[in-house]
Amino acid sequence: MEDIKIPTKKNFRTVEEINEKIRNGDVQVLTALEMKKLVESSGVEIALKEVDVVTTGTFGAMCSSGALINVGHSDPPIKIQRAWMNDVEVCHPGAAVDLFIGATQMSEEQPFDYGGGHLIEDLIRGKEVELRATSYGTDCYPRTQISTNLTKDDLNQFYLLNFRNCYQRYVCAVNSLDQTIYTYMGKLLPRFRNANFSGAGELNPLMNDLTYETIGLGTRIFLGGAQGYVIGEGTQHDPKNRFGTIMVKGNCKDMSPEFIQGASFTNYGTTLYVGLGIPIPILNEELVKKTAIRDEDIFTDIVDYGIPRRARPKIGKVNYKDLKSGLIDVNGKRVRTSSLSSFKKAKQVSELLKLWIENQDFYLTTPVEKLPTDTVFKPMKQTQETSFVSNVMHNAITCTEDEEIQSIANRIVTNSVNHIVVIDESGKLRGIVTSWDVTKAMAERKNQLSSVVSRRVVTAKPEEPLETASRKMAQHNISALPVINSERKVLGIVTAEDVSRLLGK
Amino acid sequence: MVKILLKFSESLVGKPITSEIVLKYNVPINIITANITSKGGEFLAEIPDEALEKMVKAFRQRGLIVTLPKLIEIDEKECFSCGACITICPVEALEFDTDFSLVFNKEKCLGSTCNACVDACPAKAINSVG
Repeated sequence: MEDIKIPTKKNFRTVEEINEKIRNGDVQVLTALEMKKLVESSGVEIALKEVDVVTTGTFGAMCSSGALINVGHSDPPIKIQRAWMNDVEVCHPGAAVDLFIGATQMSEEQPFDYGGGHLIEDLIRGKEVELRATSYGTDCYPRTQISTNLTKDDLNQFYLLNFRNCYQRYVCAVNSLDQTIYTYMGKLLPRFRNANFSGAGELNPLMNDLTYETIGLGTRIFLGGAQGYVIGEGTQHDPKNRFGTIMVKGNCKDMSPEFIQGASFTNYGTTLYVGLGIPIPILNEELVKKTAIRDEDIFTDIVDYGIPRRARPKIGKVNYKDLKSGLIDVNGKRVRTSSLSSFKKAKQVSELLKLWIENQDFYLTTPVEKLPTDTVFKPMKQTQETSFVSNVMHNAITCTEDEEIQSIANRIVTNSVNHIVVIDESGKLRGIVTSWDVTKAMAERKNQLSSVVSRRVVTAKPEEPLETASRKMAQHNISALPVINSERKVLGIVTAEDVSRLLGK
Repeated sequence: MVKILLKFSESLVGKPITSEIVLKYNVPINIITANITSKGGEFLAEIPDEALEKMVKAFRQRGLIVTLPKLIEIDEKECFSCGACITICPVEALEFDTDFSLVFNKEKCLGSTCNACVDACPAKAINSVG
């Protein structure tokens, strides 16, 4: 492993000198927000002389969080195979009694309302939780099931072990569809009626040291109201695109529920909100400039979450200043913005970390290995081809609105289909009739097609993945989707049978 | 202005009750949301404070059920002021203070006729109350 590169120019101060100042009680600490104001009013040189440390903070949903616990051995002992705590299945990755609580794992009894994130919060709050475990039994671990109640005091280890936290920035999510969607970026109203973003912008820890000059393995940080550590790059760390992440650990037994909170996104699932702050030692002029970064310099993409593909369409760019103002411009339209992370809490993190340092409760560290700056985030290698609507769609049997029920009935029988697509003279979609509609009309002795046509038709596009089309049918409880192009011209139809033949659903 | 929620049963839908009462008492009312089909429904209206008593009485005499709409309540212990609810609210009853604390303007809230913010809150800190 390459050694940490020592800048050719001698640093203005060292981490050791800063820690000495902390010990002597004369360290100068500013929050990142205060630092930006100082640099703007007094310039880089004065800021370098006057400021030793800049504190940062963020408080947001961090789904790739979890806690490692050791519950101790029972008598007779059990080698846990599967386990649940408060009905949340916990993973059993190790020997006998080590368990991992994943933040997004949902309760079997109350999915979407309670999950691993809430479980971690409850344990931190000192609440008693129920552990249930099963096993196959061995000569050395004969027990096959156990049930007990535990608090954090009964656990040997209780460590937050978050493998991807503190995204440097995140995209801004909008929805082009005609209906509200519920995503991990929150509730997105139809037709771009709102925009959701996440992240503290100019207060974000990694944004204040863009090249990770002072951050890496061993960096002591604020984590969930306690002192924790960076233990390396986070998964999906993507430094070149300014989507850096970190992996962190900290002792949950010292944490505060004020800065660790279970949460749930409707129809998406549960997660954990984490408060995280990193102190940036002001070693040189470059670090003064880096910590002076402003919201207007931090840009991100506006992304359409209405398209459920890996490459969701980017429809614009926006900076964090505009995002925080509550109103942005999306394709010429004024759109209100909501944050999913809490800027108020992020500020509290940076202020509390400042106080700790001033009160000699927190000393800075030099990382033993810096975060990589050259890794790339690869997409999944897929060895099976993805099926699209165009792979299975077939010709639709159509009719026009002026036809009579009897002739539609004949067409259903002759073609042995259940759906007739109603089109106009130019082939554009007007509606759909099913064999059920026709049966009902005949039973009621109606002869006008217009009385039974469904006008609000759920449709598919040929380039849509079959999985998406299948989900649409399930959500709307229907068995076919007319396939149309952008001019609403009918190209064919895809049915539930087509899907099940290919996907086995 | 005071908000009241007026409920129609199926038998009342066909009658122009609201117009008749407005004309009779000469009190302007502001309909904020309405959801009425041939099977009945409800609408939310704003009524001037001073006319509240006589208007409620008049609607009740014609057989409507008149109630004050249920509002929402924010559990301040759970709310961490992210702001996810702000853009969901159609009447801007939820907004940030200058220090990014969430503020709830009760008088603007549409209450149980809307409730759009309830499922947008990741902390599940917003509840519909009676």
